[in-house]
Amino acid sequence: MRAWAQGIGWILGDAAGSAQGGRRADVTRIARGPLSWGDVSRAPFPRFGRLGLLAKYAVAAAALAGCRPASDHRKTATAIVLTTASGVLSSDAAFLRTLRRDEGPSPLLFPYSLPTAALGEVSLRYGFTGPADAEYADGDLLGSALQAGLARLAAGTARDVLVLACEANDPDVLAAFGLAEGTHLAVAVRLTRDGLVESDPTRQAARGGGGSPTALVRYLPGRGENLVEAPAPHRLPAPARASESDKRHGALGPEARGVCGLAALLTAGPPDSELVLPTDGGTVLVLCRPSEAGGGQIS
Amino acid sequence: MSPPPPVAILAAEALTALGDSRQDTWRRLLAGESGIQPVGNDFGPHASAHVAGAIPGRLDAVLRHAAAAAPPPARGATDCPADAWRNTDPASLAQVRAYRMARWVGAAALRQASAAWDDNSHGAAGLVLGTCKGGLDACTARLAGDEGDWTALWNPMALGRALADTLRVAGPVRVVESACTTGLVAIAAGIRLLRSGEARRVLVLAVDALDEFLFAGFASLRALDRRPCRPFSTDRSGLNLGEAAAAIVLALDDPPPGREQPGEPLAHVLGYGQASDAHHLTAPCRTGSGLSSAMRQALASAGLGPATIDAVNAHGTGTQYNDEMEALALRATFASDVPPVMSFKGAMGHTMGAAGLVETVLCIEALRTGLIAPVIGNADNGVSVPLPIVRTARRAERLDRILTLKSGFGGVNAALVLGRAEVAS
Repeated sequence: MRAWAQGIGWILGDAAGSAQGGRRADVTRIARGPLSWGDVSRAPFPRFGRLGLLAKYAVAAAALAGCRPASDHRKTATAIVLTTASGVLSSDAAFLRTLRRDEGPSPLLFPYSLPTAALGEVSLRYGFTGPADAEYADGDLLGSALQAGLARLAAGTARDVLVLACEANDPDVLAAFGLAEGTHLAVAVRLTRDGLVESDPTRQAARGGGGSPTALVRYLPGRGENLVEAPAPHRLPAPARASESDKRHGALGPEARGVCGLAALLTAGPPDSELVLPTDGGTVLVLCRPSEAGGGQIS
Repeated sequence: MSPPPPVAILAAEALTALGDSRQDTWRRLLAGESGIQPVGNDFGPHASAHVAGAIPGRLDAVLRHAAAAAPPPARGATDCPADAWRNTDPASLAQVRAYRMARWVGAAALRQASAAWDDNSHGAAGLVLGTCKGGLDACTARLAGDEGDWTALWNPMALGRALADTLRVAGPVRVVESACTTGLVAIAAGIRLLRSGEARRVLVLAVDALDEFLFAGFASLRALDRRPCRPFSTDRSGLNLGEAAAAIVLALDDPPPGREQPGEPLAHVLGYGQASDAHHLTAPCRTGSGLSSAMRQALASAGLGPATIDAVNAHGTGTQYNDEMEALALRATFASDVPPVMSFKGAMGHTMGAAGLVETVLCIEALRTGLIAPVIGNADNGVSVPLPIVRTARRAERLDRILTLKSGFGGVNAALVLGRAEVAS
């Protein structure tokens, strides 16, 4: 199974990246601390501050991947898949704290105690009416997320899917479970099913332009026999590297490593190499040279 | 394009407020009984004035039968991780009600399917767990400062891995969450594992257990009725919470050449669909457009038209907005020919992430027996569309296919078409 990445956005520690249309990625530094909507978009979003932590990162990464706010007349049947490891532990903790206070349980916090709330905020913001569900994962979060997105496309239930891999929890909450403090990270990839995208620039121009894809994404099922040897580790461009603070806390877990690798591929110019992400059941390959990757045709 | 072949359901089990098995639950449902009871102080101060479909009183007794909770002997799992064969649970696991409930129904379903579940090895057997807040009691304890060893259960994926270990499933594990549609989404995830070739048999589990957290949360949204809920009635005023676990075993009905036939199915999954409202975070779309879209997709993926559906298992929570939305979505799909409508939440409460799978298991019983069950608590048609609500159990003239529906927080909707064992699309 393969699909075209039309746009990729990510937030990792104090860096935010956006890659669209076959260009090199734009990477900017963002302030550490609470995520600000102004760091990722100029479009107004007054409700952003009230969202749960996971929902904030999901909506922000989607904006960086090129998702545009919906109007009532412009909803699309795009599917959404969210993959997370630690889920909504911080929202759970915040709601639990209100139970112990005099004011009682908060109706504003409770809805964010499900990862589905992040899906709902993304679908509301961008007008996505396709299937939406969340999967928990361990190991390589980005690989699992892309595998899940490709599986939705292979099942034929959507033409496009927004794949989200998000980790966003307060350090004190993670510490309560004996987990190392992790960095906040979010990746959003807009995938379109193969055969629906024109990847050849010449033919694309003949058809009146349109955005060219950013990368080709493939999934090879079967553990072991199809696992491609990973290429030499990619050298990370400075903005996408984990900060000294992250490294000090041992933050660069497997999920962050996948994001760093993706950021490195997209910011290093026209790459020859590919990113290989092992998953539970197979291997996800992100090939970053769309025009030489076999060519997609518009059906 | 022709629809994909049906998926066989080889085994099914449920543990609910109504009964300790699918047959027990179904029998009491047909008899018009309800498992909705006052919960007292079992779930904290926010629950004390409420009723719910709770099973704490007899949970220990049910689960104490060690033999009943043991999975069948494993065969073929040669590449199973070394720690996958442990028979005793760590102390922390044994305290997690969702884990105990899911393990019990999972083992029971595997025993039913033991003839077909003959190879647990990687690539042969997979597991999908659907849950909203499974293991939440571990989370609650840890965040409250309990010093117990909860690290192994810090997220639902850990719960899924623990269940796969205990039930001796060595293949791929998926853990899905999709609010009240979780159970149906778990079935869809299991079907994807089968059709992608990642597994030849899939154990699908769904579970949610009651907790102070849930009572407080739904109470804060003013979504709970302090009396037994009354789905689709004029005086409905909210839902009752419930807890349950369910399990089914799935296999491709038409396996690739050289692969064994799956055995005698209980029923088939003929098609499924999912759609989002993109309307509101917690309230359903007033027009029912997301749910009707999910229904259309489910019917299309089964290659069926609305007239082939003989009964509907509605979500039917008993809230004003859900039931009205659902009625409008049913009219949009079936026009004036809405089939008989069943809803099970008046008998066992809204079991959250387990609801989709528990109610699927009860629909399987309906297909097997040819009987449709009453909507416990319903007194009249209180929605704007005249619905043929089932009020007393009866034999259906024809019961070949049932459409089951769920909607939830985040504006998610799902629909599944189930077929009688003898009926393909």
